[in-house]
Amino acid sequence: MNKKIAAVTLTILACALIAAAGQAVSSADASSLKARVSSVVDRFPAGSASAKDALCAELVNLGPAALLETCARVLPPGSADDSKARFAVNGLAVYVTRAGAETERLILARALLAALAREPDAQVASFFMTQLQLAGKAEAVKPLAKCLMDGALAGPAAAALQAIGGPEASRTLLKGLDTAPQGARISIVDALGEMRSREAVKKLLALAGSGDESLRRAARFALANIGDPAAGPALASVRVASSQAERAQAPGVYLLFARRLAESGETTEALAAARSILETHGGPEESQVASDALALLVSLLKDKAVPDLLGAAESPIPALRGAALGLAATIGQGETTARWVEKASASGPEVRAGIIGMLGRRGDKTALPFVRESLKSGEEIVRLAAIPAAVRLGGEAVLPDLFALVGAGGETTVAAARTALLGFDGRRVVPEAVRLLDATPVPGKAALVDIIGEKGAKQEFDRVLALASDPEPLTRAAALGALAKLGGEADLPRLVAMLETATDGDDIVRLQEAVAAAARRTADPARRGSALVDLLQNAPASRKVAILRTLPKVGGQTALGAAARESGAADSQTQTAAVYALSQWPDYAAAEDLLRIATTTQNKKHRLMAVEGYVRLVGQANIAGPRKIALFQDLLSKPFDDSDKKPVLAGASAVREPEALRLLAAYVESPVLGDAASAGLIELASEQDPEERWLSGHEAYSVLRRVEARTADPAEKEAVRKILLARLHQGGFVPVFDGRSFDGWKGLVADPPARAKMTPQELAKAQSEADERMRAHWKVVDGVLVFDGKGESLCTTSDYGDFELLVDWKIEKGGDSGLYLRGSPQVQIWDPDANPVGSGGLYNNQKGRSTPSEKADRPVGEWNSFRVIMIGERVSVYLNDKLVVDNVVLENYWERDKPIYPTGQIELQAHGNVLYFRDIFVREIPRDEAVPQMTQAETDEGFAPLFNGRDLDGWTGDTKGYAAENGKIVIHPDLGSGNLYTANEYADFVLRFEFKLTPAANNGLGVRAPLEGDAAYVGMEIQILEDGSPVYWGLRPYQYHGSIYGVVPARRGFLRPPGEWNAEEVAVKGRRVTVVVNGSTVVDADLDQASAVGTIDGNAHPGLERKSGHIGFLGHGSIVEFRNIRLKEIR
Amino acid sequence: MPKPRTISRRRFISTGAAAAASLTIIPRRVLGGQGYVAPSDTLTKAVIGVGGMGRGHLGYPGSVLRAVCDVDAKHLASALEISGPGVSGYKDFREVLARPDIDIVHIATPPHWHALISIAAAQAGKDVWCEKPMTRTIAEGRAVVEAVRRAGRIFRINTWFRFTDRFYGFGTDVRPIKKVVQNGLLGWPIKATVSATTGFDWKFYWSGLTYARPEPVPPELDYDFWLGPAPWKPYHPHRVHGTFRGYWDYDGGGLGDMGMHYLDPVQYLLDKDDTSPVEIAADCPQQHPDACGSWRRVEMKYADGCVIVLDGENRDTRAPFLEGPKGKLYRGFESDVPGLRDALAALPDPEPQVTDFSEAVRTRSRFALNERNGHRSCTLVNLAKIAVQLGRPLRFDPERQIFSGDEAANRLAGQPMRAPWHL
Repeated sequence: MNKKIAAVTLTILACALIAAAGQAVSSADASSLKARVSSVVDRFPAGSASAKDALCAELVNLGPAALLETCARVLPPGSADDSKARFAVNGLAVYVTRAGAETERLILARALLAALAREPDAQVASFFMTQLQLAGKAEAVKPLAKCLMDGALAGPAAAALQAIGGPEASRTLLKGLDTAPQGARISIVDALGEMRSREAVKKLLALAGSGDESLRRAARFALANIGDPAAGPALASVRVASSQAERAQAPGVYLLFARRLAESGETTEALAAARSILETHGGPEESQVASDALALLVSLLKDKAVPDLLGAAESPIPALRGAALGLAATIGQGETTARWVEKASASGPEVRAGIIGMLGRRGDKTALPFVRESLKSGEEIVRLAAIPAAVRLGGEAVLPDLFALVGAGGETTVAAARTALLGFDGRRVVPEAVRLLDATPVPGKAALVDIIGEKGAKQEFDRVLALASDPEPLTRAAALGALAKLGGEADLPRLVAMLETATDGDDIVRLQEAVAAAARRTADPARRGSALVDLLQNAPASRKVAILRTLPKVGGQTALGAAARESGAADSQTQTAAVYALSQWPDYAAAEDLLRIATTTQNKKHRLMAVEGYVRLVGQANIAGPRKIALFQDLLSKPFDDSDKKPVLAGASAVREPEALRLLAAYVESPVLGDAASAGLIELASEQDPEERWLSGHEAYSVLRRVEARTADPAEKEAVRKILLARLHQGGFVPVFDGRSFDGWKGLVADPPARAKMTPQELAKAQSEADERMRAHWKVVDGVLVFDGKGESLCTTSDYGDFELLVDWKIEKGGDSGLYLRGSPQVQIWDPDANPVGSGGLYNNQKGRSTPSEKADRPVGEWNSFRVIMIGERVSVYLNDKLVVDNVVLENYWERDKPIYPTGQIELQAHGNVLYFRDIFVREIPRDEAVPQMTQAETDEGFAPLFNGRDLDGWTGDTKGYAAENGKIVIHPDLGSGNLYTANEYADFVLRFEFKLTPAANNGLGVRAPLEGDAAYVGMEIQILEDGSPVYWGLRPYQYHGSIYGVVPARRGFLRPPGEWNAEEVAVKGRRVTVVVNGSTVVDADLDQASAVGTIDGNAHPGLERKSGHIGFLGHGSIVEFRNIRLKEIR
Repeated sequence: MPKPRTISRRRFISTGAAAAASLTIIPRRVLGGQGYVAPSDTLTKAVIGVGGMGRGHLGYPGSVLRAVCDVDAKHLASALEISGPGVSGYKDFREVLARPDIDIVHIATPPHWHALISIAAAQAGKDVWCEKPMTRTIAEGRAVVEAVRRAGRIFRINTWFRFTDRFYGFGTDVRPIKKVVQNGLLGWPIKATVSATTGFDWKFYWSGLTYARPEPVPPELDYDFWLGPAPWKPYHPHRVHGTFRGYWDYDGGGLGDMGMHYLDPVQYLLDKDDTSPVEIAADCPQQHPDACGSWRRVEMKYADGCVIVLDGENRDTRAPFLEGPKGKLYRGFESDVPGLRDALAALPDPEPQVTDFSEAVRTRSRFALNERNGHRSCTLVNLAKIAVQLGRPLRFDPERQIFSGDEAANRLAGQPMRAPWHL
């Protein structure tokens, strides 16, 4: 039982609601209502609260039936995207709960209830109840009661009733308790407990003896939560049959009960309960229960609980002691404090320390004399507790005591006293610190110096400077540290002189810090460093070296200029110090000097320092990733030693751009730099953000395979493999062969037409026989599928539609095989020596091309890699990264008069010789969904469709090569390969469209173009290109997808793989052009800036000057599809 | 520029933890000396939830790992693999809490579990090191405060800007800033602006899917247990494991995930550890009922006029981090108060804080960021979340910790849990 009865009841309510609202339900009105609701719902989600309120007001104004209609658009999860409806319904629920909207709230609540009544899906019903949990009140109580009877709905219904609250909801829950299904009763019991329903106690007491443990525990908890004395006996004991967990929970439940008793004024019962817990829970394991009981006693008895606390404070159980002191800090003053002091005096050091800490926290100043006395305790633990307590209670009055501790204490006590002293105003502590300095031994002396430094007592500089050469290391270290806080420009000569002669390593580091700090501390920021730099003039080499080493810590233009100057010094020591200083520079300002040194110096050590410094600065600079890679590329083109190039490769691996991948890939096979490049690639590829699509693209796969191949250590190889698989996985590739078993594979049964004629029983039988045959001839050896040459083909158990397939294969001399796609032959594999045309061709094609465009095979006996992309009827094949089949239609071998089947298995063809396959992965490519429409928001914004979805009305040019099909503009290169332009001209605009590329596809978007001439030059061409294809791995950046061709390079790496739809926005406003691909901005350029010193490709681009022109698709012989093309003109 | 990657996030966290461990007010060896008995010589811990954040907790110094727990068998297996011998694996956290030999429980589950496990752990006599955000609702936070207090446990939240680590590009930790504020150099009341300029650039990092086709639950995951107290919703991989942060049922987007990092130190600076704002207003796009979205700005005003602004759009990159009637303090410790740095040194230091968790456990001292001030910091997050969800100005009573005049807001501040779980 029984959602149906509930549904019937509520349906009546729903009808009443609609009728009451006076909405005629003739079908014409109904459809116009639907349209009106759609027009509002489509505009959700709102961009702001006020916009949301406006949309909600529109819906409310349409009347109750419209609200019900809105609710009706919430769909069961997985059926369709109903997010707009959910935004709308929840928006309404929030909207009507604003102050003063009770009438609207009631209307919505009724609509939600009506929708709930007729909703068959539990998930959608739960959604409505969650909205009622937010916006429901009394009106929802009865209808929700029905839902309490349904197992799947009872939980949300109970939650909603609990949120609604009030006696009626409580009574309703209680009533539902008897009739609700077993599982739902727990939710109800919980809610009754939370609502403190005393009426429920009787029924809950019965359930507290239930045989069902979950229900019993819930009931016990609810009873405790309600806190009715009648439940005492039941809660005080645990059933003999109770589980371990239930027993463990019992004291906590009983404590809750005791607290609820206390809350409702049943003090005697509460006290009795707390004391009984304290008595029965004395062991160390039970300290937390005892602590709880103690807390309850304190909350009930306040000051009168002090004897209990005093007792607990000397408990041998530290946890209970801690709890007692924690509570003690919160109650009683005066007389109570005296009792605690008395207790502390009579206790051992540990308990005493705890009490002293508590006395500090409770802040009763009458404890001060005792705490102060404790500062002199012989026990360190007591002194350490007394220091902060004394400060809290005594403030400045305890300063003399603290200084006394500094004078006499051990290291730890001094450290604690120092911390306490720093909490005071410097004017109070510095004079005393100075006065005591000479007479105080270490470690106190060091602490005093420290205080003088921390408090910035500049007038004491000389005194501290003298101590900086103290023979005692602790004092010296403190003094040097303090100098950094006190020194100014005027002190620099003395600090530098000291640095020049320092020999101890630690001293030097501290002195450098002090010099740099003094140099930075200038009234005029523009003069930063100049006082220090002045000291370089006519200085001996040793002083110059000392100063130069501190310059990176000073920073700024003056210091940088000095370091650059000295890098050309005659003295080699000075020169080295200057280069080192530049290499350590904190910001990009030093990059130019470092580059100059790197490319001009003859000194190998200097060059390496300069390169490392430069790479570091470029890496951390706020410049675009591709630009960083370009800078690294420039550096690598210099005639450096390989050892100088290693840091560059490491630097490149930290730049997360596809260009970094390409840069490193060039060095993978290098004998000297291969390791560095591989390490860089592993670093780069070891993690991936979802937007870094290029890391799961074929280029990354191909490069990582090369890294894997050159890695000798098996563990490292395995690590590379893991990364590679993770990247493939993120790119949507699934391994078809697990390297161990035939999971996912089956034997071959006849051909597709023959299989289609078999009955399921026949097929199953034939399949099991075929599987047996298959296992006789195919074997898995070391992660490779090996065929002995005597059986039949190996087939995937899954069928595939559109897909990208990666597979490695190897044959022996005279070998012959192939890949069947969708169960049909074939992508050819054969011995390239016997067949010079090479592998990869669609061998059985009769109408279309059957041979590969080039021979890309590796010699027999070596592994080859196929990448096959099949979209619709067309197949592209890359063999060893060469495109050998370019979008050729695969003909149907089995039934020549039919096109290729829409789906089917992939087969590894047996052809009577030994074969090897490995690394087989498939990415399934989703087939087109419905063509998306322009959104309401875009209409409001002023966008209009540029393509009507039916024909090429409004377009001109090559209307033969381009065709309107199923809401898309599709290019047929065999019918024409020209340009398709808008009939109208546009000046400034925002254009949005979607496009789908085939492998290696090339097209372009003409902008502000005339109808004649090459739009890339006489207008502008925004590149459209599958630039991840190996065909284009040598491209210049200004040819990447999205680039203003030849003028502004685009950031690469945001395209989805071939066969998937991409979204693009091109905005042309005056001289500003932005291109956004799949949500990422790849071009944001000013045309004047971009062409100010000539365009990057060196060609004339007169079209950049045009103010308006046609928009067009510029064909380059590839199949590309466009859809949902819309444009907003900016006037 | 690409968004920060998980790797940098991890580095960010690990340097923070290392820095936290190195900052000790009183050296450990002293407290272990004569006359002092430690609860046990070696502190032991269990980590509950060993996915993304939990992995980091395995190696936090100060205690020895004894148990790991996760409802995802794969996470559990991989945590066991890296934790070495002597560590047991569990699916049910209650079994972990039942082990008497564990001192500290680290909670790195999604936030919808934080309160339940914190409370159960405190009741089981464990000290707790819990991930931020402390709790998913205000009611849960109150329950944790009470349970930890009653059990006398030591509790910390895993964020640390309040007491260590360089702060907001200030080139310093929070102490000198606290000094500026507490010594009145900027005057009162103070307006604090938290934006990408001053560190908070995580707000769009986590958004949920507003529609996702349900998928079969992978065999390694006990999804029902993973959901626990959260409402039952059909499984989709985006709901769990890292991306759970984009759903109101479990967290609150970037605001929930990272808000406490940046709000907690502000609360400390403004000395608001015992109170909460009285007015909260958010400017944001409408929120989906299930999936968290983005927001533009949240303003929270205290009774004394102090204001915290979360500038999600980083609209004013030159806004001072702190602004009072007497002066402003900017990122990089720049200020229009003449001679601020020089004046600062002599002034009293802020009160020292207990910043080493194992010390806090051993000495039973309240950790710098504990359940009480942690609850108030997390309340800032939870107030902001509710304001974002409702999209209207709210008034809050910091004493009673309920909203005034907005019942819907109160209903969001305390939501019933799914049976059999309850607070």
